[in-house]
Formats: sequence, C-alpha cells, structure tokens
Amino acid sequence: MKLALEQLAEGIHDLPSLPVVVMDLLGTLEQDDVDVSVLAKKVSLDPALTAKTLRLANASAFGLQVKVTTIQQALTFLGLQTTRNLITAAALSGCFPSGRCASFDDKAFWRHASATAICARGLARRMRFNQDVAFTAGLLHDLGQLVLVCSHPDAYGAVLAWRKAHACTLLDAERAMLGVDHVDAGVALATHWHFSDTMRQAIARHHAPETPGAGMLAAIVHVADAIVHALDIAGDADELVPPVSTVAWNAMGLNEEAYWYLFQETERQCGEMSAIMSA
Amino acid sequence: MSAAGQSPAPDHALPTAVQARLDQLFRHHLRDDPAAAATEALRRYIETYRGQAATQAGVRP
Repeated sequence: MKLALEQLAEGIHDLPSLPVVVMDLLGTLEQDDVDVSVLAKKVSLDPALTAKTLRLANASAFGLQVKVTTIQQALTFLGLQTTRNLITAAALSGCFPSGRCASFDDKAFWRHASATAICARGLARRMRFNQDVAFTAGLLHDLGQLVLVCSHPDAYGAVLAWRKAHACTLLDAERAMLGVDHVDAGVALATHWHFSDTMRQAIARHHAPETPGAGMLAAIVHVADAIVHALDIAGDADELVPPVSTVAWNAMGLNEEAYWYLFQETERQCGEMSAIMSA
Repeated sequence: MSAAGQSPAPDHALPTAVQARLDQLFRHHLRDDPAAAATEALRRYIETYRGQAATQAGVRP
C-alpha cells in the first residue's frame, strides 16, 4: 500500500487534538516571556495532564530533592523551560491511542523517545546548547511513526514485517512499503501542530544532519538517536543502529570518556521516565 | 584529529551474548570502513563500555 502525502494529512486530522495550552507551549518553546501564572492555571484545569506532568517532574531524571505536588511548585523548582517540556511530554504521550497495530510495541517506542530526549539533553549540556529544546526535540523526533501507526495500522504492520524479513532500517521499510516514511509524517504533524521552525527542522533532518541548513539541533538528535539504538534501550529484537553522520559526530567534539558518562546517564535516567510516558 | 578518529581498540573482552547482540545491532556496519568512521567510533565506544560493565560485574567472556 503506497500512501500519498495528502493521505498523511488526512490521518493527522483524525488524531486527537492537543490541549490548547500545549499548542501554545510548542509554538513558544524558544521564548522566555511566557506568563508563568497563567500557564500554571491553564494546565491545572486538566487533571490528567497535571497528574502526568507531576509524575514526570518527580522522576529521578530531573533530580528534585523535594516532591512537587502542583504545577506552580514544578515551575518554582524546575523552572519554566523544564516544566513546559514535561507538560508537552505528558500531553503527547496521551494523544496517540496505543494497541492499534499488534506488531508495534508502544512501550518500546516511548523507551526510545524518552532515552533520546535524555541523551540529547546531555549532549546539549556538554555543547552549551539549549538543553530544554534538545530534550523536546529528542522526545518528538520519531512521532511520525505514531502518526503512521495510528492512521494506517494494518499497513504499518506490513512495514514491520518487511523490516524483519529484509533486516533493514525502519526508514527503508517504510519507504519500500508505504512510499513515505516517519520523517515525512513527523514533518506533516509538526506543521499541523504549529511546532517552531527549529523543531520542525530537527524532525525533518534527524536522519540527514549533514544537509545544508539542518542545524545543530538536528545533529544532536541524530547522534542521540544512534546512541540510544546502540545502547539497545528499546529492547526491539529487529533494532538496527542507523549509520552515524561523521559531520554530526565530529560536531559534538566529545572524547570517549564524555560518551561513557553520557551512556551511563542515559541508561540510568530513562527507565522511570519511559514507564510514566507509556502508562 | 577528528572526534570520530579517536576511538581506541576495545580493551575489555565482551561476553559472547553481548558481542552477538552488538554484532546484530551494527549488522550493516563494516568494521574499519573509512567511510563510516563515526559509526565505527560509536561501535567501539559501546563495546568498551559494555566490556568494562561486564568486567565490573564479574561476567567472563
């Protein structure tokens, strides 16, 4: 079954809407002039979103010494950028119904996404890049897979069977079976949900960071994605480490010791977060 | 020297099952392929990292 880009757009329109407050957050991810008290009030009106955000905020990955019980407290202790990342993560994980495609492992997807977010944040810290933007980009980079799974579950089952039979990457299997891939679907979703240009570019180029104009964020997500595949965090039997761009790898400029710390940090912090994300 | 060219040879022998899984994960990567220097560097860093973890855990190859 081949999909036209128009069919991708139709599938996206059938997805549940993001809460308005999250749409606002995604559109202003790189801005610091958000009214914090208004944000806290808006999020607090959604009990499920608040509960999941607070569970994430209290996860060890965020290193709080005290337990936060309100969005306002999370804002106080974690700051605006981290808290809005958690709100975004909590909202996104509730947006895609699980179990639509029997051969697609939703929990493995969120393990990979959570670990890539943590690894991208670690890379960004070492490169003095915006850690919160890197975290969110890591979390969002493969969302196109969920778009395809939710809108065309049977066809995606055939993609996974093709990948197993041909021992190829998911990207290659998607292109062979659908004629489009999760990057196309992710970009369409990013456009539909009004993600920032930076975020859209990171999603679009995370498999091609050497493309002129791809930007540092795409390079960070690309390397984080490869590391997480190599660490085998998703636990997917058909996993394959994608080829690592030498341009992106060299742009990180890290030595082996720095990578070891990053591997440890990623493995240690991702378990709790992915469990909350896939709950 | 570029970061991709800094990968040292793994100095910890890996347990067979761990090595087999890494070989599967990197099955499209040819060792010592100069066109894939970054993939090679990542592979060697992961092998050394896993090897040291196995050594610390007392797991023999």
